[in-house]
Amino acid sequence: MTAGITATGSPVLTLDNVRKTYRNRDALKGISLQLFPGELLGFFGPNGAGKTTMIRCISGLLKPDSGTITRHSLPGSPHASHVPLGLVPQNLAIYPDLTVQQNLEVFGRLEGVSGRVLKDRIKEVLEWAALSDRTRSLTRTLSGGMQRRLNIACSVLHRPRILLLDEPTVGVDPQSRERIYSMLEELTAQGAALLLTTHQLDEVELRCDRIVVLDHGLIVAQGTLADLVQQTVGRPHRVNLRFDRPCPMTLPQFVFDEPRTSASRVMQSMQELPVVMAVLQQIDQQPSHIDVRSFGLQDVFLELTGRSLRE
Amino acid sequence: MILTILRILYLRLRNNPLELVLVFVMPAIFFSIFAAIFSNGISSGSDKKLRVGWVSLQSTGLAMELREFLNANSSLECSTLPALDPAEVTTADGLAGEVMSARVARAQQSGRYDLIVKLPVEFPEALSSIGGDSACSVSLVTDGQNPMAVGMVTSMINGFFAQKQAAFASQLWIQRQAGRGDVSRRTPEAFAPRLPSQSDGQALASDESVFGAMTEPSAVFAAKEERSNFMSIQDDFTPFTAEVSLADPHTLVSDATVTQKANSPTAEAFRILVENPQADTQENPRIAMYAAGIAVLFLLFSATGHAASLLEEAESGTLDRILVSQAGLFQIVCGKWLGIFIMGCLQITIMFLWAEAVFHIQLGKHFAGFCIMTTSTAAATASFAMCMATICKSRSQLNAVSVVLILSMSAVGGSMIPRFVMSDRMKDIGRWSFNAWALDGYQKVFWYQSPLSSLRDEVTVLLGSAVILGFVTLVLSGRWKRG
Repeated sequence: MTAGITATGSPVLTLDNVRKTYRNRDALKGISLQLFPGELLGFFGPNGAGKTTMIRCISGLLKPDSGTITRHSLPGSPHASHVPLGLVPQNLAIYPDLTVQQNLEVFGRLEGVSGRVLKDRIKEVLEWAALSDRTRSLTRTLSGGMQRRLNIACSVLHRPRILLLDEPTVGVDPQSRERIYSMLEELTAQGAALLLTTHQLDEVELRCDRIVVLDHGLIVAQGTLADLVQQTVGRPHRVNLRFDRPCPMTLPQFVFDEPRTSASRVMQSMQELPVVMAVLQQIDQQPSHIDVRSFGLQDVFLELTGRSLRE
Repeated sequence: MILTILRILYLRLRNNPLELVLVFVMPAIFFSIFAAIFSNGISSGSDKKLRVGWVSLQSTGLAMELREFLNANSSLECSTLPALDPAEVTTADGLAGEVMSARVARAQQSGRYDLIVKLPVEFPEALSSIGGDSACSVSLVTDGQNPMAVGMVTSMINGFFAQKQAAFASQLWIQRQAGRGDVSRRTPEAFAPRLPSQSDGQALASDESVFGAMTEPSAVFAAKEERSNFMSIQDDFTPFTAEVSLADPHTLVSDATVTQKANSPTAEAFRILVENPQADTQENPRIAMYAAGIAVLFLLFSATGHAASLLEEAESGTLDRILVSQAGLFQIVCGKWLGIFIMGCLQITIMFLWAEAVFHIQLGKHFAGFCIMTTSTAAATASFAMCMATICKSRSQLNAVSVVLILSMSAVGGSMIPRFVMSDRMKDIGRWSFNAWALDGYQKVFWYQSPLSSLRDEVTVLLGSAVILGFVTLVLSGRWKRG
């Protein structure tokens, strides 16, 4: 991840102990976090964890039962409420029977951008989203990836300082996904603060500066990926060994399956692996396959939220 | 495989109660509505009577007999026109003729009467007093909505006068045959026309009372013996030959008044005048009514369709994006409402412009009334559609509910079947629909050519509904803010 501006300094958004009961359920049970300029914050959790409720609260669509949500104005800007915010809903929140240009025009006007400024912004955004050659195309005739890019483009015409993205890459091919993340990186490079919810853990791992894990309406962990791994799993590597024949002896800290043809353990340091290999060589039990895997967000996520199905 | 496809169809239908309602319940609802209209509205049975208004400046004996004759007819519901308010009497200068005209006009505009029987001030006391310069005329005032009414009531009144003539002729004949001039001993009932409700036996009894009044049996015998001769004489008195086209009210009254004359020499004394006060200035009013009926029906559908975009936007998340923008919920709802309102006005206007171009409905002449009714109707339907969209939770739910509601309202409200053929009860039920109020207003504009002030009730109801439903829409639309 190459964020142009380091996520430090004054936050642009602060949530302080936000609580919200939604449809007779405690959707948010005291959320506190900060979002900084130039930061891409990955927000994820199981279905029903409260992600959408939190985004709706931040965007002003829902009013929290208690707690505060503060948008911080830029130094010199008097009105905090005027901090521009953009929302990219999970569904394609664009008009399929309007052209690309018309969609950008109407959403730009709704954000208060008009006249020459709007024309310039539309031109700029079309290039940014690689849609310059499809301005007159009806939106419904665009590919899924193009529609997703237009969906994002419609939310940045007013140059928001905070952009909330609810699963913006759902259902798009790897090329479009790459393009979308390039677009988002450009935004963060310009100083926008992005809050992203997604179930694509690899995206969060690779793209986000900071990760927040939400479950049952609570933030169960937050920080960088390394922080989360350290906080949760606490071991950097998992080693899996496979044998052609059952292993006759027990290896320290390894867990064998039946019929003892595979074993696995977590190693704090890869320097432990040669020691194990030496032991196996002594008994002429060379493994046919060695798999060393670093812990990732998937492990952190399952560690934090469990394996039971939600909803 | 075919069974599996059938099973999918069945399961989808079973899991969608609204579609089930549309498929199985709606036909029954519509059948019930039309059955109610046709059984209580356009019935050929006894339920639906021809509603005849009665207004007479003279309560003469002959007038009372005619009234009694009409009252006795089971196919008529004859009632005296309501009196005017004192203020209205003042505006009519208190002159009897003008007051009566005002009463007739008011009664016509109420839509409560298929026809109004109007007796002039010179209506005779008795049949015997007709002759010389005096004449017996009856005016039938129609608004052209129910051409059958003119034919039916004309026939009945013809029958009344025919029986009166026959009775009068028989009196003369009996006097001549009996060689006596004194017929005063006979009961008056003997000369009264036979009421429609009287059976042959009753008529015979009346005859017996005539014959019984004769003092000599020979005279009675002679009278009975010559009865067949009397009937042939009566044929000579067949009083009227109608030459009125009942197909169209305009042709019926192309000269505003048509006089039906009798063939017999004495029938010159009897006249039935058919009047249509609006005839001279009317131009295809029925077409205007159809244009309004169809326009309102489609207006309701198109308005609901446009309002459904709100639900589509909510489902797609577009509404969230708009709500996060600088546009507030109030602006969104007002913008949608205004769009539907303008579309509605254009839709009705185009419909009427077409009717004007092709069917010559005189739109220009009634432009002010048209504008008032069109804006009121479009406002009401816009609010109705927006309210429906905020009440329903999804587009499919809105589709199902709106189809049921709009078709029901259109059926009872007069967009499918003209309101003037409905019974009073059905008309009252129809007043729960926008269609009825809108069509009544257009009817006043294009048919009765009433002054704009007469649209007060319709405009009040339509605009009042628009305001109330608009308020409900604003309140209910808060759910999108509340999530």
